[in-house]
Amino acid sequence: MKATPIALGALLALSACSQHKVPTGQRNADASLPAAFNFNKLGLRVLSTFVNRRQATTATLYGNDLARQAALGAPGATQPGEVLALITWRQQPDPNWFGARIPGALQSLELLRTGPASAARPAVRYQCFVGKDLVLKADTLHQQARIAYLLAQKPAVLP
Amino acid sequence: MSVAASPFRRLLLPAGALLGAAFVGIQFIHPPLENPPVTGDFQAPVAVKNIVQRACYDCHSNQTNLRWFDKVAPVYWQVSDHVKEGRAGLNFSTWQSMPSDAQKAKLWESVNQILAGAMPLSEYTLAHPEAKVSAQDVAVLKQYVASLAKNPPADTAKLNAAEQQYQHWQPGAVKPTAVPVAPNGIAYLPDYKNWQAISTTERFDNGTIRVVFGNAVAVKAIREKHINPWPNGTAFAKVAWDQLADTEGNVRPGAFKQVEYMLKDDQKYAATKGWGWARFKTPKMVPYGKDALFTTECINCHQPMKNNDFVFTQPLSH
Repeated sequence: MKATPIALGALLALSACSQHKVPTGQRNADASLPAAFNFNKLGLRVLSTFVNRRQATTATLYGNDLARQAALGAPGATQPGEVLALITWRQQPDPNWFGARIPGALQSLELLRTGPASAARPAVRYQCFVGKDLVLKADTLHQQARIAYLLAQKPAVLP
Repeated sequence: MSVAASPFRRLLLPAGALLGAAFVGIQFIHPPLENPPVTGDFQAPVAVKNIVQRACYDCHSNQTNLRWFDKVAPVYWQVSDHVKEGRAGLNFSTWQSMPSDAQKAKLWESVNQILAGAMPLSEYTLAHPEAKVSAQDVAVLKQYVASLAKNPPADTAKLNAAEQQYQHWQPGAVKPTAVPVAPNGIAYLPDYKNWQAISTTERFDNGTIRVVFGNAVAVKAIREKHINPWPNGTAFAKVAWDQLADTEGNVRPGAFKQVEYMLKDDQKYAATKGWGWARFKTPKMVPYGKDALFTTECINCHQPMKNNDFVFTQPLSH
């Protein structure tokens, strides 16, 4: 009968061991934004999310209320005061679920702001921050294409 | 020694006899465990089927094969409970009664349970070492489920469904007369849209794309790295949409499928692992589950994450 508590103890020890594979209490540090960037201060809400399978990236689009209204409206309904942000990450396999990919290394944060109209059209300011530390990119190549892309996105249905 | 031993013997002998009698006695407490008929057995390539039969069928089919040592009480009582629970969660003998999407979801979930070491149960493999799943078995199973995942460019039906839903949806315009409530009493929380995104997921196992939102308590906990356990008041909302892929491999959200909540309160929700669980489907927010027992399904799936406060998401901070 003495064997029973020993066997039970062994069972408990074994069942505890079998759970060790799962990482616990971990944040996704690679995908996190540098705190100094103060992204939350922009007060934006999620508008949509995207995946590019060829480039193995995933992105989340954020916007303020004006940007959301504009995105819901007719194409070209841009108005001053809109703020849009697109954060893009390299994808990585989800360590906790075979069958999923989650954000990996932070790749870029694109920020678009519309200003007061000049020549009947709102002025658009576009900035692209890249890498883990979100360093402002000096290169302005493809800016017009990126602005057009960002302004063309429709919000995802969020009932 | 001998002086001390004699009162011990006087006590031990009757105690031993009593225990022996009790052991024999409990053998008569033997709730029946039947093998109901197999109505629609699991079909898969032979290599896959063999692994599943060997590792899962004792508890997850109507072809349970109890060995003599499984039939000895009190072990038998536990075995019997495991089989009943196992069949209720997943039964390969009634496999064909499930829609194809549900079959696929169950297979992916099963592979993930095995990968996390949650299945087969260690107390089962201890007595039945032949049921252990080797690294090679895992590779076979992973390859098989991966072969079932097909995410082609969106067809007209999917595009139309998404477009129609979009046309009917105007944020702020949706004002249901009554707030939908899940069978466990948790109400739909419309405010999730104002929470922060703490992760996004491309689920190639089921063709969805997701955003996980966290409320202010969750966001603070992430920033302060206090996420195991999560503090009371934490709330998550996970939204899933159909994937709409184009021929270039660009994927955007299509039809809204569901929002799922996890609300942390280790007192209020003590019976369900400290979390309140809920799922609302379609833009009409139809509560999921026939009765409050639907949470068993949530907990079973999240069980491999029990050392991570039952949370799958690795949150990121902004």
